[in-house]
Amino acid sequence: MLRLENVRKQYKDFELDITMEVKPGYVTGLIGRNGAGKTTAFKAGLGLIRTEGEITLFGKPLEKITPADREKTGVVLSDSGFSGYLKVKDLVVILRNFYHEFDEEYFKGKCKEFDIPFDKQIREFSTGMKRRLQVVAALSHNAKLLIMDEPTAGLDVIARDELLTMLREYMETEGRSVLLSSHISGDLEGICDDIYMIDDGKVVLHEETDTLLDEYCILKVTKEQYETLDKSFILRQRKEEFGFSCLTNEKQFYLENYPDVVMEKGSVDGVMTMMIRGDGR
Amino acid sequence: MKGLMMKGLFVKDYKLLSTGPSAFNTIFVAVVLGMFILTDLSSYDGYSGINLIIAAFLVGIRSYDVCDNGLAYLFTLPVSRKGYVRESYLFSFLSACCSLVIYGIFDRVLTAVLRPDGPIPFTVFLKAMWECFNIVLLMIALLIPFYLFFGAKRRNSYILAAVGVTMIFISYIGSMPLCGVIQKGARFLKTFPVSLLLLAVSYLISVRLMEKKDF
Repeated sequence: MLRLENVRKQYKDFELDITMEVKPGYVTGLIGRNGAGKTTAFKAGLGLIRTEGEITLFGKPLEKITPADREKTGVVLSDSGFSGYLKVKDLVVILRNFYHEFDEEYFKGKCKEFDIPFDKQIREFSTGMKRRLQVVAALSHNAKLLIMDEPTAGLDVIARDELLTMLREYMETEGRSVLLSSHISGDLEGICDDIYMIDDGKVVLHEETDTLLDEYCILKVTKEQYETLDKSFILRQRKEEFGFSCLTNEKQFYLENYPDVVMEKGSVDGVMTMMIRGDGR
Repeated sequence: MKGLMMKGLFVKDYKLLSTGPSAFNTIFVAVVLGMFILTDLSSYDGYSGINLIIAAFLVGIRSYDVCDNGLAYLFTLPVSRKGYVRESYLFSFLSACCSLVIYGIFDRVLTAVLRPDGPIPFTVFLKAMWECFNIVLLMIALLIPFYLFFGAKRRNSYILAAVGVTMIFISYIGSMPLCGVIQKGARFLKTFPVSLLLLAVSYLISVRLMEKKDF
């Protein structure tokens, strides 16, 4: 669906250098600290910034993407949206004229469900309401690929849950894919098939979510236990007051060979913290 | 597909024009004021001034797209950069021409009633309209690249600069003795080819700026 191969973008004090792929039928998550390069990666994938490297969307190089191909994508951006001077009732007419497959009933229904006012200028909306509007618009024209940068930002717990349910319903149709980022790791754990962690513009980890949750863990070891620990499968380690925290992707090996070691179940937050703050072996 | 993109952009611009905060109000005030002011004018400079304001505000619709990085989102819709630039010029041109025609019709009717010695002579009126058309071309040529490249933050500065350049241009070129056939007084004939040329250059600059711009 979308592939970024050695994509580089150089700014004054930041460089993005990333290779990643969103496979058909996959929900792919992108996670990282603020300023890690998530939005830059999204913009690169959408052709909003000029980059080096190779980007393909629906199997075509990005420079050959036509408005017809754009109809097959639905996008939520964290720092941009519809003109604030428009009203939702205007958007209905505009989207109808942009998309062949715009589902007006769905769009109106979801707007009502999310309490999005039809007769108010978008600039008067709250951040969460703007985000919900973008999500509904992205889902309303039978897109094959959703690209969503922080779609849950500014949403309360209920709205977040509703949005994730909408995404799950969207994925029930075969051949669709989603690329999304979120600073709330729980959102990604619950919906993503695979996750890319990026830091300082580079991918530090790519893993299937199930693997990450099942096979990764953080070993909490004392200095004495650390000395005798087989470090062959330790990805990152970090000095703590009690000794060391060690990230591994071979939980079973340590379960079997070091039954006395305290293990913390793998989580997106835990793994990310270790991958970013921990030291290499 | 290109047709659908153009249609969508036209609908968007029309909606922005009709829901925008000041465009219609400003045009309405300009037209009404113009009607009354022009009842006392024998020259067509008044027409130019009023239409200059109208053109500036119509081209100013671009600022509703560019504010808050709105173009980034727009280019995730089925819109190409080149297509957007083309539509910007076309919509600005057509909407300004429409306002010019509507303004002209209202003016002929109202000045016939309000002006003690009737409306200004039809030939003078036509010259004034033609000059306004030139002004529209110039304002589009001058303003659109600024909006597209620099955004809407200094919108008023662009408008003032464009108005100034347009006035100087019309006065300067208009008073140049270009050839014997085109005499002073027919300045619109001299300015038109230059306006068209500037418009073409402006369009090419805008396409290039847009294709190189990061959002």
